[in-house]
Amino acid sequence: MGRMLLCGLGLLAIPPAIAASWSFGDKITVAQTSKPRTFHHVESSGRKNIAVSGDTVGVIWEDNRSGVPQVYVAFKPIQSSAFESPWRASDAPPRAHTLAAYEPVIVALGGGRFLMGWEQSSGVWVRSGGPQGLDPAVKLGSAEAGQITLATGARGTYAAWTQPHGRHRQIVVAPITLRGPGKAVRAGAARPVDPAPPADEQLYPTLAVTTKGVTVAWEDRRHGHTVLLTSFAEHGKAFAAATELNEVVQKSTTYGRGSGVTRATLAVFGADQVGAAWMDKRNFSTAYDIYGAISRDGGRRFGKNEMVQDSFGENFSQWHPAISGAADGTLAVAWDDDRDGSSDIQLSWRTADGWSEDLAVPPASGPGEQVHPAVALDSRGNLHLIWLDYLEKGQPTRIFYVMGKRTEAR
Amino acid sequence: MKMRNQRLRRALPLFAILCMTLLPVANGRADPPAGYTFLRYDEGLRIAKRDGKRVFAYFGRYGCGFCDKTNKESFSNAEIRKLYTEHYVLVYVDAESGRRLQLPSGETITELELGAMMKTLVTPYFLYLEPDGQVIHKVPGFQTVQAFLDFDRYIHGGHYKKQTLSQFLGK
Repeated sequence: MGRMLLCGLGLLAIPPAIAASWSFGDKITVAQTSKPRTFHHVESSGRKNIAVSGDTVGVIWEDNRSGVPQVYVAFKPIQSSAFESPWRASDAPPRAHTLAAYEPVIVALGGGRFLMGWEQSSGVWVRSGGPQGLDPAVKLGSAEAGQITLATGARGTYAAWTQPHGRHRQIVVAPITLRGPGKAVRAGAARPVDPAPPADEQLYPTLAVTTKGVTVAWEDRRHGHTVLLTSFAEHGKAFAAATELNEVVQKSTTYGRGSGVTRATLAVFGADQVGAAWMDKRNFSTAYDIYGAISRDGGRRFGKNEMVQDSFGENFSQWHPAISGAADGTLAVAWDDDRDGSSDIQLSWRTADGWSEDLAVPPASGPGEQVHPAVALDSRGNLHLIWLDYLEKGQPTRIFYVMGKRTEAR
Repeated sequence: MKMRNQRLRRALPLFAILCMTLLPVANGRADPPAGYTFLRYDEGLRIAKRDGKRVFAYFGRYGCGFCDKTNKESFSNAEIRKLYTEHYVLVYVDAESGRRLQLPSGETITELELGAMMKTLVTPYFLYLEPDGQVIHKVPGFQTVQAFLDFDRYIHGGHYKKQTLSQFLGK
């Protein structure tokens, strides 16, 4: 009885970080170093650097602890208070330790298994795996391929990346066949989303897979400025003609034409709905804002653009949006901005009335710089968040993780 | 006929150069201004350190209207071209690009991340840097010819070491 009382008092003494609508646990270190000139990076095309597969959390990042940027992945059971020792994922090509690897991505395959991708040695690589080990890696795409992203759903798994076609980079998509533990995945034919030769750069793809098909969004410079385009294909069929995702706000008929958009990210939520978020400079006096759009038809078409962050946040520059969705209908976007003097991780989620007020995630805000978030919602609607943390520019970097639970009725 | 062909052959390279110079402007793109030698950020910093020369960094964005306006109305000025080419190592950063740069710290980041790190909230955004990369002065947005001339006198003359820009300009 006395022990139970002590235990209860102990729990009261260390309350979880409570924020309106979400309750966050303690932050957990994913990766850190005291080694000088070592830098962690949480970056990928579509910002998919964390995933939850069954009861396992997987985090993927790049750091140069060995002297050369390499990709590392670490896992932990959801209930565990620590991540296991990381695996070096980028170990496939000969002399891999000398070949810089960048922009890794991870998605959940279910049952505690994951699919990972990254860029290395003038190509993009994928491999499956989990806490028990990593399966053989496979190189995809032509020479100079890069900016890989992955997505999976009940009816298929896909990879998208950029590779040169003539003078410009082009987005290609390939289906991925999973073959189980110990075996390398197989990639189907990589097909350009737009069959016409690129008239200008196509960059930074992001994918969403619904039961109806696969949606890809990317940055496209064909019109003399950057627009976000999306295209949809039913599973096994060709992509439809691209349509514009962002509403272009023309600022001048004389000087330039683009309102400025970059780094789109997609996620499936609810019953085959797709959410999109991106950085948007249409209001140039307040730098980048986070805008978004929703598709309610499985990813074929998106509705009107919506400002994701709240009106107070509009006065500051937002960076690095990451989006995740859950089958229960939760859709959340995280980003960083410095409205409180230094960069913090902000969160907004979709409500019946639109996007919520912004929430500075308690364990990911305060003194120092908290930047580069990535998010994953699990099947219960819990939020899993990682971010990069450092005290000052040039100081050692760390990657932290925290889990949040919804406390309000949905 | 032969003479006309020879003249045509001689004129073609000139025409090609003219097209290459004018096309980006005609497309409304925000590439570096014509007639200047802008380098990659990391390459420029190495040269600046080697030569003990200050750096003028131009953060632009593809399709950026105010970059286009600055190129056409300010960087087209012959005096600006002469002074900035002589006084600085010129570097250009496409602030939405995924091109990777290696910083003096050894960190490798993309051009977009350099913009985020430098908090270049708008484009164009101009930075004057010491030869070792330390920021001397930041200037956001479109700037006139006179403003660029004032900034150059302030920076190249070393006045920034003792005065704020407002003090220097007597404002």
